[in-house]
Amino acid sequence: MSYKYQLIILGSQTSVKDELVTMLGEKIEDLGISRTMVKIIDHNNFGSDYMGNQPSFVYYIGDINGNFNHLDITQKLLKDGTMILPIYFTEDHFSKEIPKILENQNGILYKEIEKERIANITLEAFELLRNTRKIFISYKRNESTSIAIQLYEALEHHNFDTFLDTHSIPKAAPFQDELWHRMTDCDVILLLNTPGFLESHWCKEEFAEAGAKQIGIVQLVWPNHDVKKDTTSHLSYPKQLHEYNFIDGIYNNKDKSKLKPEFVAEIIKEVESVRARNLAARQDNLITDFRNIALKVGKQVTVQPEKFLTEDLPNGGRRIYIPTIGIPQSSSCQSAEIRKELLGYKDVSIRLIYDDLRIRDKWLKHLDWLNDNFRKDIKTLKKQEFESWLSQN
Amino acid sequence: MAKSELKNVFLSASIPIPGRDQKFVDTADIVAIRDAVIALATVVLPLHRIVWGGHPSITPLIYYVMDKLKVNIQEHVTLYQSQFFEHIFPEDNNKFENVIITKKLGDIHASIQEMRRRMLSENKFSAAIFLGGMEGIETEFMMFREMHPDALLLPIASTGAASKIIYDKLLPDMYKNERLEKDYGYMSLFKTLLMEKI
Repeated sequence: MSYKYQLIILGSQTSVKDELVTMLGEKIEDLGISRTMVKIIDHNNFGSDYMGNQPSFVYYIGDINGNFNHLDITQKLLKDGTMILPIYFTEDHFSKEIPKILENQNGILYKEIEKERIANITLEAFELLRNTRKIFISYKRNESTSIAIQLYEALEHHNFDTFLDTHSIPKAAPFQDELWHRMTDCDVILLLNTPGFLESHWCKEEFAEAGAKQIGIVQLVWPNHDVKKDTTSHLSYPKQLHEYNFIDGIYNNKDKSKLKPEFVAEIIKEVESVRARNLAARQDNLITDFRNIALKVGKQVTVQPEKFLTEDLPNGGRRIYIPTIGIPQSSSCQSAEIRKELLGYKDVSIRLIYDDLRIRDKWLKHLDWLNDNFRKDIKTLKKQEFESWLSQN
Repeated sequence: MAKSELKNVFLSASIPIPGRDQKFVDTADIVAIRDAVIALATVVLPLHRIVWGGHPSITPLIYYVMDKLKVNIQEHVTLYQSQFFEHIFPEDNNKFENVIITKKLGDIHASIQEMRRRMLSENKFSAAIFLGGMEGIETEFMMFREMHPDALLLPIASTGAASKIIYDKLLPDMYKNERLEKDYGYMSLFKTLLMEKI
């Protein structure tokens, strides 16, 4: 199956819709990513095309007369924890132009110059900006160097932040530790599964650890290798290579082998697809789960389009929850949108929510220490403690 | 927690691989299977016990979660393995204290069937979870239903493959729930649909 990014446009049927789609398409192409990676969905094809396992972002376009459409779909997407951006047209008319079910969402007052900002918020929601598109190429130097370099260049060209994991260094502990540390933040690992690859490096535990850290794995299985032999590696997206995928059919020369350009394009498409699916998984793992657990204990938590969550407290205070993938860092609290959220409330606190399963013990200890010793209003919250914390606070 | 209070949850899970029956491969969502196994282990292991006939790509995930949970929960896992696969047992088997090896009988089918028979007859189960999977999942679903008619059945249709097929075709209506088809927030799903029900 091929996974995509889903842009869902609901509400008023104005020409704004087309303008926004065009702007986003241009921005995506500027990044070297194919426009076809984004599936445009509206109320007509929602039933047939929308899939809950792929990343989604919603524009709800307001109506100046307050005639609201597609409230059932909007309700469903809210329930799924989907990020929704309400767009309205008249200063101070948010509550008149946007339906009540979206009243807690941050919205944007539409102006010509805001089109670009809307596109940027969308790209951020899909994590398409380069610093968030980390990918590892893992390969065995004496079997597939030239292909690794070829793919490195192609992925860089498609706006991936690529790292070559060369297996020529002995598997010493500090190196391995550092490698895994860097991997925690990446979306996809591209394994060049040549016959000696798994034996040399990627043992069963590493597959499990990559899986548990929610990293997507794409395997290119060499023509002279059988993936079925590697029973632990099934937790990945294997792609069988054939002699005819290589220029002049040379597949076993570490310096001369090259893949045909059209096949490289196919691999990039597969990597992008797995990346999209994995991004949705990470968002579900934190945002959807957190929101569901909050609902279960009777709390109203709103998923904001800038990818953080807000909760209004009975005493007029507000909490902001910031989902963090990988290692929570204080810089996660610095974005302009979050600083703006802090205004107008007498009492604001921030919680960085994260999945402790993905993080090494050394960092977990450090985060616990920060909770006890750092500013009182910015703390971290582990996924395993969501329910107990939410029901007590 | 005293051993007697632990409830058994049966896990039937595997990952369809290319080259096998296309009806499983086409709908399998590998990321969903992965996430559901991790969420299930995270939610169930601290309080109850998971019993499974370890597929080599599933067992290491459960071990990883168990290791991270940091409490002594060796008695919260029971792994069944057929001697037929002795030569390719995952290394992780050694990390579990409760590994039950069942007899090799004739061919692969008879051996696996013997493992299933023992796994399902030697334990009392409160629930069964089905994730992804191929032919074996359908067999285990039928056997489980017959041997544990009062236990909760949760085929997670959103993981696709055989679990989706049994959800669509074999699951009694009383067990159907839209969340099993469309909700990918598996930790909260298992808390609500499993932990609160057993």
